[in-house]
Amino acid sequence: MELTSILDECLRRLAAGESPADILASHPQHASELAPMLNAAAGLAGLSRPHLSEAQRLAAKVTLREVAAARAAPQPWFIRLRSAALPVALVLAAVVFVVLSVSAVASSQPGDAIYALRVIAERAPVLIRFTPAARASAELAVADRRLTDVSTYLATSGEVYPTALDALLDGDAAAAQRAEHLPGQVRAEIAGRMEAHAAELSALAATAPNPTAAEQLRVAAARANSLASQLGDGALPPSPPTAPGAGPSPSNGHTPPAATPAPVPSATVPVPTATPSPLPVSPQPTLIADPTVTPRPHLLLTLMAVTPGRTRRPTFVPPVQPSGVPITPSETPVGPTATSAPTTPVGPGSPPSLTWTPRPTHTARPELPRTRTRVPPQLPRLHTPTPVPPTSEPVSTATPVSAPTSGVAPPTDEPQPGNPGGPPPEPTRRPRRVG
Amino acid sequence: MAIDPAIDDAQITSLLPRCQRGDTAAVEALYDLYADRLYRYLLARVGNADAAADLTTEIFVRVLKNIGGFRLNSRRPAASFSAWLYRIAANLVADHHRQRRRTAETDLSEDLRIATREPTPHRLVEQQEILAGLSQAMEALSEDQRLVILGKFGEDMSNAEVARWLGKTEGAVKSLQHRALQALGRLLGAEEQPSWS
Repeated sequence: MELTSILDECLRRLAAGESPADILASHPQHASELAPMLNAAAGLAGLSRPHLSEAQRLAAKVTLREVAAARAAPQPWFIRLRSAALPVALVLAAVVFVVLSVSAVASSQPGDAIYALRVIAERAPVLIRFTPAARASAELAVADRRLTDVSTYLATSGEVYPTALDALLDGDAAAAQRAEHLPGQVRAEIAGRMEAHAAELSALAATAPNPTAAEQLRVAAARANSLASQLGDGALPPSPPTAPGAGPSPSNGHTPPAATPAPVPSATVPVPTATPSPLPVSPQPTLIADPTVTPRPHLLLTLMAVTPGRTRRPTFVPPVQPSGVPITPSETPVGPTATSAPTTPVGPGSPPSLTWTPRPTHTARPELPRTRTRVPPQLPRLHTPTPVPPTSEPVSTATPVSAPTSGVAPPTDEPQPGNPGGPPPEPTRRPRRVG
Repeated sequence: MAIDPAIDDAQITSLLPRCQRGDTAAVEALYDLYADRLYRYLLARVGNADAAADLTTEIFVRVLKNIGGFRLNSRRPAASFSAWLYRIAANLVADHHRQRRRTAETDLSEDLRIATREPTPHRLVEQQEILAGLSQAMEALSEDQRLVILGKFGEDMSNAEVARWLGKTEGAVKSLQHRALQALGRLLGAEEQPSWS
């Protein structure tokens, strides 16, 4: 029998008045275990059963009646109203607070303490756009508002509000970044909007009463322009092969020359220098340039480092004969002003083919990545002078390509020597693109 | 057989709605049903008659304040209401012990009224010592074990009655009783030879 049941039986016998000794004697094998339990049970059974006295009961009932009466009494109206209306009032207060806060933030203007909150809050729509194009468009929409804020603050105070201006440029930069991998048409459209920002900033700079503000606006305009150029260059479709002697028209680009700074190479594409060609190099002056000419640093300006007030038009534009080589799809901004019309004296009767040099670089580029490499601003990427066979006249070793092209020319573009309508003489040195 | 009349489900189902409507007579009827049971439980746990009486009143004050939100178990009305009352009592005991620790109250058994079958002075002193130790030993038990001991030895309930009261099976009640007596025997100094052995 289980000990629990044996104990229960022993407790029944104990309650019936049997002596513990007799009980334990009937279970000698469990006596040692049962003894302390029966001892405790005997102690409990020997106790009286206390109960409340009548006085205690009466006092308790009086207390209960008082409590019941107090609970039954009607509460004052303000207490009832407070208990019922308090949650509603709290909710209403919270709603009013939120509405007032949002409206205050939304109506804040540059110079207000909470304008920074508005700048942050108005970027919220960007977060709920899920395609790069939509996000870029949303960034530009926000940048439009910041431009309006800059204009408004300038009109009222004559100064530039830095938070708004920074937000504008940040928006343009974000839009450019999001549009980086979009199709060319979309990129061109976005670049156009950014150029519009740059144009308006330039216009504001022209009318700014404060020279400092004008300078800030010019810097910002230059930066916006750089971003637009960088993006727009990638948006350009591959240029069709130009006919020999037909220089690129400034109107080919999507931006007017006046508003577009000179294209700045933004991606560094290592161009293998040409080895001395076994072919005779004609001393034709077509591409002859001063060999001592070195690229000026401002040719290598990066997009993000535009010196205020500096014209970004390239000052070193080597004379170039319009090339018959199709321009390969470019990853770097190609502005209309990038490809200069041939301005250097070119012998009127000198056929370009006479100075053509085979370009070994065409076959050496398949491994070139088409990725954009950003280079810290003002980090000069200079041309690598290449030894040139001695000629009667100093021959320029710089590539007379004013428009930085992507540089990835398919082998099919390889010009054929002796082609009468072939490409112009190939220089032995081409400027490296910098990002 | 329990010394107090058993509480059946019909009594609770008729009194409780009246209490919830604020009927003071119904509240007093409930007090009469449960007061002594709760008092014994409280006395066993706090060891002080006045404190136990005050706490008994406090239980019913809390019942009055909170009975509007109490939902009766329709299948076991008396057991569910009883469980609610003892839960309130246990909370009050815990509060009482916390307060007592702060005030360093020490008297445990002076107010215990001991009635013995043989009320000799020697027996009275012995019972007082047992009760003093018992009050402390009861705190070492679980709540279910305390209630089983209280039902079996304070109310003279049978196993079946305790099982119904606590909503447990008779086997569970026997098991709880076994473990409770084991603990009490150990805590009350079971090593001492019982007087009857």
